[in-house]
Amino acid sequence: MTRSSAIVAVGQTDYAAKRLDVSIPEMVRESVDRAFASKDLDFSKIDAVVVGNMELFEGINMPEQWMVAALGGAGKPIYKLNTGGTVGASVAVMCDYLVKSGIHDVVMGIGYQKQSEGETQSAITTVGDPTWERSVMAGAIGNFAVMASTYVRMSGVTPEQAAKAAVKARRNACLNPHAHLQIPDLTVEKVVNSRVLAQPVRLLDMCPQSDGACTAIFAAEGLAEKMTPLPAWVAATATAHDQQFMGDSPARLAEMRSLQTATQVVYDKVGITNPRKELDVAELYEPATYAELAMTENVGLCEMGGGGRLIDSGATQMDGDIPVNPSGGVLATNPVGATAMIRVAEAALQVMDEAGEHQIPNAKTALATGYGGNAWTEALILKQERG
Amino acid sequence: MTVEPIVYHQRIKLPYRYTAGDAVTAFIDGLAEGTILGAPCGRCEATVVPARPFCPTCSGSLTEFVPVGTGGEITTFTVDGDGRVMAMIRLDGADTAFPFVVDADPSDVSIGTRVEARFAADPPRTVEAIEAFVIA
Amino acid sequence: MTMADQNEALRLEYLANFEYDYAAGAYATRFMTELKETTRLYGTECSECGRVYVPPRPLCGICSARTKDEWVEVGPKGTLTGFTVVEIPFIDPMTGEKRPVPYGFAFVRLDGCDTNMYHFIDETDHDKMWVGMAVEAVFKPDGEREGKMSDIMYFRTLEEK
Repeated sequence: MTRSSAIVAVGQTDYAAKRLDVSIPEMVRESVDRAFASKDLDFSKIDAVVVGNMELFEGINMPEQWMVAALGGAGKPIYKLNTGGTVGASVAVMCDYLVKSGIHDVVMGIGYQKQSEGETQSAITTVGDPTWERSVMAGAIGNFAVMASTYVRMSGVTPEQAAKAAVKARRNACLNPHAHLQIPDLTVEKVVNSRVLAQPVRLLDMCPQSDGACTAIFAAEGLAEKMTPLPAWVAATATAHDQQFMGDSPARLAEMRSLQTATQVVYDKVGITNPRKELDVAELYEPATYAELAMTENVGLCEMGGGGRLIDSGATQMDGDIPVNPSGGVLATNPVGATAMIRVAEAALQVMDEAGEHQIPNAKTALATGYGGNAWTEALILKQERG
Repeated sequence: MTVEPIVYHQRIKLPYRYTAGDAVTAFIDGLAEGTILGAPCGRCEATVVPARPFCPTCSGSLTEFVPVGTGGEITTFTVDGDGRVMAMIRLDGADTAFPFVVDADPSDVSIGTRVEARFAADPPRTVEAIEAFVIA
Repeated sequence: MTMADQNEALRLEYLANFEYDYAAGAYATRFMTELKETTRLYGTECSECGRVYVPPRPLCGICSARTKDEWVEVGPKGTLTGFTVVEIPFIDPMTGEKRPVPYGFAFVRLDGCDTNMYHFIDETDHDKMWVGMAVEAVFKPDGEREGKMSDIMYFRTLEEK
């Protein structure tokens, strides 16, 4: 038997293109201090720390060891994960496991990255197999654009429909004080006329490169209720991985097998059969506009191929029936090592009723997803009710 | 027919640029003036050298920086394959030691040997503004 | 720190430059040796579901069943299952240099194969390509092939709209 676990506190840095005012440890500490300040916590309450990052992002090997002083970690168990872009969600799942299993009572999870200090696209390219893939890569954007073209062919989504996701994201971001790209007057026209990166992906279709860190503190039942009035209970988690090589999946973006698998597992665990109706809000890991549309299909918010029609309907806007990424999502803020943790943290803030100006009213059940380089996926369901 | 197993020789070559942050910036800029800065931790009642943002023992924020001696003693050392001495050095006024090259004959060096910083004539804006430590 | 201070912010540079010797393994060695000596391409076939895989491998990831000992010839023709024209450069970590743009890049489904392969395409006009377009591998000439992926230089398009 396991016990319940919940997120009780969240801390985020102010995300920006370049945080030249802080070194990496100082930036991480900023998110830790904010999580502590929000609930009057300190290092003495933390039993263990889980850190997520990809070594080649900033070229620091064993970064958790390097920043131990920033983490309050001397003498404590510290765990380090590297799952590429989805590492923040992997960290969240691991924190949940450590608490649910009884190994630790309070665990601090952190995802971070300073994109300004490295060459993210190039670092991501090294996920490619040295024999088969590494010499035929086009960076994360080029590789993604190829997948997006297949999705466009299969679904018929238009650049304008995709652009709506970009407009939604940067407008929602205006209600999130931490977000990087806050553009209140962005329009579909500006997006579809922005510079081409790799067809069909244009500059404004793509997430930004950001610096930032995000901390979430997980606590066991019995403690969580004392630390915050509305703990975000981790009702279900799932992790799924696709086959080894990038070309193994027939239609990699159109049919995200690992995302379908992971969300089906969590839906089954909590008894969700109609995600669109039974979820109150979703924070999806969408690295680009086309990805958001495809993801809404693959997590079951609409039928396969229906992502364009869904965004046209307005259902995923903040005042729609299934708001997607009220925080602004990845399209507004993307320090890759932190990005998936931000999805989990923002989903937690929603059910904790602490999302401020981007709070979705009566959000009681939230979905958060991660999406990593070779289609490694996590899905988490957070609920206000412990169940 | 046996085929020679293939081995690929490849490289990963990527440029990085690290933001130093206030404490490390103060430390490095101090070197250009011939000063070595440490950061006192009030809780631990210890001075951490080099100056850095967080105390390694209690994780407290360190925001004040004070000069420590430019000389101190070797607490331990090793000699690498090229005969170069790498030592842990605790400067006067510091409670922590840090590693640096000692430009000296290995036979002249032992634990407790006093050394002094030799600053570069044209200091770069890196820790190499100290060229090496030499026997005092 | 003010914005003015930020422009003066100290940044310390480091060039990571690591070398590796990757043992390619038995499956890659067989494929690449064939490619180098004959320009023929082969995949492995799942003994249960019949999926043909490039890169060749011992197990089918869907069935968890072994692939057959006898390999299946695939390509050199194929079709595009996805494509783009890359206009934004990035630093290639294998060289530390940027690859010049624009260049065509795609997922190619080799004839007889069930997986996609990323590769370069000799077309830089996006409007001249489509999903399903026929393409063919272009190999380095005899004597220049080395037994690596770059022995296929790129794929050339075989059709016009």
